[in-house]
Amino acid sequence: MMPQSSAIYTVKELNEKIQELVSGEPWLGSLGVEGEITGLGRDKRGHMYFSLKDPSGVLSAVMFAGKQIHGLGFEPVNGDKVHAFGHIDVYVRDGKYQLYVDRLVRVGDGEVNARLERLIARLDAMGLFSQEYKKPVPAYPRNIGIVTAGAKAAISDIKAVAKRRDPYAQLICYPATVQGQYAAADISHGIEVLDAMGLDLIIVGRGGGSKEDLWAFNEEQVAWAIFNAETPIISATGHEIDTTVADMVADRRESNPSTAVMHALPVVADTVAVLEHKYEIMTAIMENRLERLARMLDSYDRQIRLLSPEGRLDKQKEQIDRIESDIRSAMRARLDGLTDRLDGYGVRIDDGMHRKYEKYKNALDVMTERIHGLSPTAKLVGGYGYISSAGDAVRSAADADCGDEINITLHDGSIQAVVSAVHMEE
Amino acid sequence: MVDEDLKIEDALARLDEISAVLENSETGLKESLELYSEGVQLIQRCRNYLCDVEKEMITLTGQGEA
Repeated sequence: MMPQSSAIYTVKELNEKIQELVSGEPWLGSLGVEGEITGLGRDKRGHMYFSLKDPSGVLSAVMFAGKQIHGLGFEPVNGDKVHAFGHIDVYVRDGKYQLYVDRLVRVGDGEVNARLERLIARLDAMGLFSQEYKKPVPAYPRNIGIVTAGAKAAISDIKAVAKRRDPYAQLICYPATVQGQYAAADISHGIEVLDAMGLDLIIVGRGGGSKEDLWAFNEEQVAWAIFNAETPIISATGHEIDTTVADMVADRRESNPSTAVMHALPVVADTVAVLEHKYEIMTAIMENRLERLARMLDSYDRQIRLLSPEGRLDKQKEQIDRIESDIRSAMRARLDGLTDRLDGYGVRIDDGMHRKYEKYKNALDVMTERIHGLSPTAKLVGGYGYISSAGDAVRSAADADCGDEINITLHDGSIQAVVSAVHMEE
Repeated sequence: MVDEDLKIEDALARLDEISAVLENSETGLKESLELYSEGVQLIQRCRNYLCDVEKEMITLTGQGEA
């Protein structure tokens, strides 16, 4: 006999019942499973189907394309040891439970280098490293986004460099988890967030750390985030020898974020000095020009004034004035010369005349004396007289006869007399 | 505040161009004065663009915040 309690279900009903049971278990709603990827495949919508296996068992898993955007930071291949996070659910149609993966993290490095080479080859084939997609990095960025390790020292160094070069530039920092399992997803997210802000430039990198920490910058997710960004991106992943995939995709490469800021951000004082220099050149040219024009205007003005009737009169008047003044000064000069000469003569004339006068006066006195001595009357003074008879001088007693009338002239008059006797001396 | 249309490298190139035209004696006085005025304004714009206010670094905290 068949037990009465045994109810008959359809397959679908049973599968739904089991789904209900599974759904009712909270711990199945959020869990993590460790295993190795196997049987990996994708459908045309990008959904990823695979199995997780370990030495003792296999678990079906699915990761939908939508979950891969933020939950998948690497390119998975069969054999990868992973931690898959998600929930268990039943696929009713197939009567099959599976892990619905939200986030997949690679935990074993397996064949790291081979994988990296494969990734680089694949991205290269898709043109992600091609020069034609490189965006020019702006010469004078004003807003710079930085996706970097949250380490305080790295960020304050970047800050210091930027402040020194250009305190007016705006830095926007997205502190990402650069090291560890979730780094790729976080870095990619940071790039997307900053890209959406429409900045001039994004720097993606980290200050230092071990080579293993560099891994995030080799993940495909980061490569695509850099490639898809509208904003020019400088990668600065900290190792000059080890080129990362991020370095290859980025528009420019620097060794670390501080150096990137230093090279990307011109010293603002220099830029201002360049501007000022250009201002000076421009102004000098203009001043020169205006000065030349002013001189030309002056000269035209003078010419016009000279050519006008008024100007001509002025000019003639000026000439006359000048001639007059010339004459005056010439005259004055001559007069002055003459006066000087006259003054000189005056002195000399006075002296000479005086001397001559004295000389002549003396001579005159002498002559007067002499003349006085010769005068007949002068001789008559001391009782002498001039005797004449009939106008003739009586020079000798023999010249007179008794009875002759004689005239005796004295110095102050004359006497008429008659000769009474004549005595001759023997 | 931000002079969206301004690019310093373009402005510098334009200033060189203006100087060259000003230096050419063929350029008319009116044009020269206009160009000079344009140059001075451009320099002023650049200065304002470059040196408006000193900035502090903005740190975004947590995913999705912008």
